[in-house]
Amino acid sequence: MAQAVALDLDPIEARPQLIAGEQSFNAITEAVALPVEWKPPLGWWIALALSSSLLGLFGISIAYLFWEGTGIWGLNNPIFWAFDITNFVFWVGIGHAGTLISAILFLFRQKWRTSINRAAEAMTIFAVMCALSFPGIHVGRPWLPYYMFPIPNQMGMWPQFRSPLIWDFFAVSIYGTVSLLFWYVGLIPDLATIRDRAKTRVRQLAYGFFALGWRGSNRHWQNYERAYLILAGLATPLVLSVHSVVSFDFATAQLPGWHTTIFPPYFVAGAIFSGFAMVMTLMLICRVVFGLRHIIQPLHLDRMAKIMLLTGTIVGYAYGTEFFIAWYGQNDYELFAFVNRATGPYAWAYWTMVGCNVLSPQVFWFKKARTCIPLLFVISIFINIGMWFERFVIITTSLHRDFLPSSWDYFRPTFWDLSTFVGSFGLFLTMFCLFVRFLPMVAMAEVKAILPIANPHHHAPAKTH
Amino acid sequence: MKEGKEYWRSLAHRAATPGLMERMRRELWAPEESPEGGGVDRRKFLGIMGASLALAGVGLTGCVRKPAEQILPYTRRPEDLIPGKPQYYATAAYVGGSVLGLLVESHEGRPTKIEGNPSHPVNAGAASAWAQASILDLYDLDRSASPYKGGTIATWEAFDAEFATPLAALRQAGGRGLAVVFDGRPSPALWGLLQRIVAAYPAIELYAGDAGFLPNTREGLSACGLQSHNVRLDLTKADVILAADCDFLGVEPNAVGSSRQFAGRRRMRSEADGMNRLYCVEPFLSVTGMTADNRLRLQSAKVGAFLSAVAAALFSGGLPLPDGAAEAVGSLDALGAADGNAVNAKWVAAVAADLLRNRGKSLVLVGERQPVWVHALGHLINAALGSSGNTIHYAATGQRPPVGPLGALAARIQAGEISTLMALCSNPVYDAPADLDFAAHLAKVPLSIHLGLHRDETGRAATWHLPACHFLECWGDLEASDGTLSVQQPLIAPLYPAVSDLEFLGRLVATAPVSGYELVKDQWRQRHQALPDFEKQWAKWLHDGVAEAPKGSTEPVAFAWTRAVSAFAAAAAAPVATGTEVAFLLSPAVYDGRFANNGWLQEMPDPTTKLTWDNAALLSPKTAAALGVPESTAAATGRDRAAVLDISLAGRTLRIPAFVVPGTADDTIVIPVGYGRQVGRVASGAGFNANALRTTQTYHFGSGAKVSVTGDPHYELATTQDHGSMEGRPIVRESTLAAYRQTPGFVEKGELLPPERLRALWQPPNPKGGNQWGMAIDLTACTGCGACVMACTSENNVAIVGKQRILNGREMHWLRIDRYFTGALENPEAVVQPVACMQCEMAPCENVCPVAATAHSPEGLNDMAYNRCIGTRYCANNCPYKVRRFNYFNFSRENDEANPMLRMQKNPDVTVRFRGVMEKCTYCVQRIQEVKIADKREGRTTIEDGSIVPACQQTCPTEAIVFGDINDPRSKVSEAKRTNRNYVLLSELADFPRTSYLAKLRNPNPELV
Repeated sequence: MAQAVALDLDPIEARPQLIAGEQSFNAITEAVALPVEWKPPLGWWIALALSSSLLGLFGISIAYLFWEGTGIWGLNNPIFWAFDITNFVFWVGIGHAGTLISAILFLFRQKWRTSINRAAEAMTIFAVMCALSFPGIHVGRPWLPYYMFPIPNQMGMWPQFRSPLIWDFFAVSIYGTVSLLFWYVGLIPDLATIRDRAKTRVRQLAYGFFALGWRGSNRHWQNYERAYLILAGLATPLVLSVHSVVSFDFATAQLPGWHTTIFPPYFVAGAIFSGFAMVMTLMLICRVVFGLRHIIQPLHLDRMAKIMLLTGTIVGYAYGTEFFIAWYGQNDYELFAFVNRATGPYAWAYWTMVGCNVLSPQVFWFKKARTCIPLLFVISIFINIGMWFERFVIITTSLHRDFLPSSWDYFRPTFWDLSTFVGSFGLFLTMFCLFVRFLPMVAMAEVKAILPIANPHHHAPAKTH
Repeated sequence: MKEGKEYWRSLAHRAATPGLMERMRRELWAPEESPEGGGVDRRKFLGIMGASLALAGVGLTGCVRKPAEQILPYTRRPEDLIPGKPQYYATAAYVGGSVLGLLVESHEGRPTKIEGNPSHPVNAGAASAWAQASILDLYDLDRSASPYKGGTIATWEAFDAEFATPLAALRQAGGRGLAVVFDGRPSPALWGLLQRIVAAYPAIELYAGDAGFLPNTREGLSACGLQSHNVRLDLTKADVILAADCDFLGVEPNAVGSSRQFAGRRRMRSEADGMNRLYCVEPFLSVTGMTADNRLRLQSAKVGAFLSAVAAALFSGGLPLPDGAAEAVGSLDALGAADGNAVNAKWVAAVAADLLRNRGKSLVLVGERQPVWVHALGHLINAALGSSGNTIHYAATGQRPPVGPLGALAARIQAGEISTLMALCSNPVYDAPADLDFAAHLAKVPLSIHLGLHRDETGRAATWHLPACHFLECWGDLEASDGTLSVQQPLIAPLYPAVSDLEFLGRLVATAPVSGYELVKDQWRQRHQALPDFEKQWAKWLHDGVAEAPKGSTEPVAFAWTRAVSAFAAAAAAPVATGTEVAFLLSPAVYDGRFANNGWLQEMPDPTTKLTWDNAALLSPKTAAALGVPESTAAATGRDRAAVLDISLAGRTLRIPAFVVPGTADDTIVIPVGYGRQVGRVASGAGFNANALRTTQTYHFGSGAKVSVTGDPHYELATTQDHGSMEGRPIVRESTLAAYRQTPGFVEKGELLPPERLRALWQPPNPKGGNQWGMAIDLTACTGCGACVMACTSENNVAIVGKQRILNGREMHWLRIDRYFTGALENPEAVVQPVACMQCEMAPCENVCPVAATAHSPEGLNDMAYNRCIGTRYCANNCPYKVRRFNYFNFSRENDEANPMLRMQKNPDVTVRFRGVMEKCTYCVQRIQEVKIADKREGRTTIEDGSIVPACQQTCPTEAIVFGDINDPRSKVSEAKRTNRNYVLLSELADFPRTSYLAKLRNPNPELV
């Protein structure tokens, strides 16, 4: 079984191998299950402590927000949304890579996805959790957002289905639900593996409960594959729809700078862009910390970098198109809104965005850059920053100077704006720390399936043909 | 003081034990030293709430505040009082130097809203911003609640006991050593009482201590031989008006009446109508200057020379001088030829020619700020042009005891001649010229008594302070500018043991405390001895609020120009003022400081600068550059980090932030007065005391000031509008009368999208059936005075947010007045535009609300359901007019906690908004409903046009706002919307707003264009 194969090419498909190192099922299981079964090292505790401190900050910020009101943020009269909705859109965007990797790349038979899909999906779930918290807390009366739910009530009132916020609510919650299901279904065989390896009764029961009695029978596998395929099919349109709907929040408004038909594809590209950047950031850390270098190879990083280059360039193209249409449309207000973005009081934010999103990924034209780990890390951080600024620029710079100059103003964040934003990373990272500790962060079953040894074959390695 | 039966809480109280009184005061009234106000402060409140929440272990339901409410039913209902239905009482008030007939709304005995009395011939229903806001003074928590002796609480009994001996001595001495400083308001009862007092105390000395008393105006009249006359303007007959440093539409007395008359000549139904022309010469862009057709920036000190040049041009152009004034020509020529006027030669010639062309239909107005000789010159020109008897009338006031200036009083105190000083409803320590050092003088007077609404600067310095009544708490009478008499009747018993100045003065001639009611009524009874049914008439007067029509005053007056001519000669001989000028203005918000503790007025944006909660040294961009004042950061960062200036004038200095206002005369620093007061919680910290610079010589302006930028850290000034340019957008559309006549459809040229190309995404609504409400605002009439903003605040329970939150851009005014500068930076014109919710037919706010909290009514209103609102703020983002206001905090509750008395003012017909909900103008939907319900009950099927009047329209002095049913083609609003000046703001968005504007027209002199 542990027959030696050439290190660089897949013996059957004659392409570079997706998994390096020892090519045995057991080796994969051991490598992936190690972080779930070990006594966590000090580093993990430190990471958890830092993350949960930030989560605590998030909690305190929300508690103070609920106590005092939205006025603790820097919002004012023309700028009724700023960090709150920026953070919302930012996190929804982050949540795009997971399902894209899982569903769309699955349907396109992109086998390299298996190394990163589990973590990316987990990231999606956590990002959607962060995202959903913002619409809930940003409202003036946070004890009443249930008015937005279509539940029968004594007032005889339905939500207002013409409002993009309601579409948003449905789009993000459906996306969150499907992503969660997809993630969980994918986890079942691996949970069963962990259950089978469990040495304590508690672990057996806990993992056993969530493994739903998985025994790995042929029938199980058939049902599983079918369910996974259906969910992938369901999730695929959602990847495109959810950020399109999020973009409707702006596109259907009549505010210059928001009222743009380009928004749906532009937002989807941006979301994939930011999602891949975040996956990249986290995977670069995990592959080192948890010794998964052979599973998450430069090859994977190279492909992710290519997608980032593509989507980053699409986003840059969208920035240019916005300007062109603003000029071509000869709408004074729209033209002003865009010129003001680039030259007005928020020009610093605009050029930060352009620099991070359009210019920095251009280095990925070079293969050396795509496989240079430190550079990848730095650029992925840049992209995270740039994509946050993109939403900030769209929301704040459009609002701060709209139709009537009499109401123009400037937004500056308060401590609580920053603490809520930073705190939301606490939620995200805490969830991620718990994820890497308690769940297999690589889809073992899927990775095993793409090993050469998973394909019964009698050929010699392709190189020798 | 005792009034009627005495009630006591305990034996100790009866005996008025000092210690007990102090404890009672602490119990009942918040100690003034506490910064947060009495009772439970916010911090403590949070603590208690937190603890109780934790104890009760409640979950989310704990967030919903359900206060316990006690209902106190009437066991016997007073006649005519239906709980829940407001009552209206007519009264009158002397506010900001003007007499206004008022109609005050009262809910279950508490006055809630002040409006102009529609039956009053002068203000005809309109009221100034000050009058609208003065209801808040009634409920001011910092009002003085008891007499003070020195720094300690005392009682009226103690005062009475202590005052008896000096009073007897004064009576013995025939009033020698007794000086009274009072406001000198035009109240027959007050002056009648003073006559009696003078009879009893022949040596008594009277002094005026009120900005509305107008010493320069009075002296100017007297220099023309009219010692006991008042001026009555008739602007309805004036075709050409020259306002020489006279803000007669703003802070000068009777601005409401003047505005009504002035705007009456600018109602342009079509291009065939004519309009008057207003020239304005002034140092600072005032409300009048913003409205003017031609405006000249000029230092205050040069206005007299300018007017002299106009006069010289008139007289040399063939206008005969009035009899006895022939010698004036030499001085006027000399004055007119003074340097600096050469640059205005074109102006002088144009104005003089225009005045001459309109003889008998022209008017020259001179502001109180100008010296006496300029006033006399104004009267001379008016007399020569035949304005007297046409556009200006002189009415005899009858003989009155002489009233001196505060400077004379200071000299008398210095000489040790004053033993008793009474300052009644005046505050000389704050506003007397600084060189008098009135506080030091007051300390020299053995017995000084201050009667005032607040224990203010004078109240603290005086030996005794006594609380005075608010005008809604006491009886009086007033004579309006046209001579109409009204009784000032109270609506509520004094909230504190307070008396009116009338009642206080009454003690001088009576043995026992007198009631104001008796004082006023006795006077009226005496005056109307011939009336057989006085009581019946009295009841009618009280009911109507208007008693006597003005007495005939149009008989020609006999001028005597000798003193005027010598005043001109003296002015011509005086050295010409040079150097940087400092000019002091009455504040359009806090007047002379008396409204400094009024939160609404502190928060009312200044009509020109849009500053709130502060005054500043206002200067032109050129002056600012010359002084090295850094450019404003407001437009870029939303906050004006103002440099702090050191201004030194005649040896006195003031440190005050600089604020650049285009349209200010160069080399001039303009400082509004009335700030920097020590009078209460609201006023403290608001602005800088400009009175520190004002001496007898420089009381209104002074030249030769030294100004330097200090190294002090910047000072943040809170404006509600950071950006003054329209950025080339067709927001306020404007034309001149001449151009309008050539192109009557000029407003359409302003459309960004021609109407035929405007396509709505959906079928545009075509409102038919029922009442469809709409509004039209005539920008030609609007002066930007701000009365509507205050009326809206008062009617709709709009919260005060405070300076910090204005800085943060969170003002709550439902109605704002946008001000834009047009033309050159150095010499701009300004336009104003009231903006409230437009009630769009296809409202962009409605379809984005996820919970349908803002929805369209069948009558076209864009309704807000506060209970349904969860505060996503999406509606406000999508509102192109940005008229929606968000409760970022629980502003209403904060207001109520800061001043529990404020609850008394609240309009019970309007929801008090809580934290986290959006709010906005409703077209005063409560008033619409009130009329509809009444009509339905009384069986009327159609609502009469004009029976529903929103608060802003009701109070507008220029009648710029018209509201009504646009479904009724005969309604006034339909008529207004049919005029060719009608346009809607941002029509290209196809929101179809119900509020439209009538484009602004000016009528400039073509020679000056």
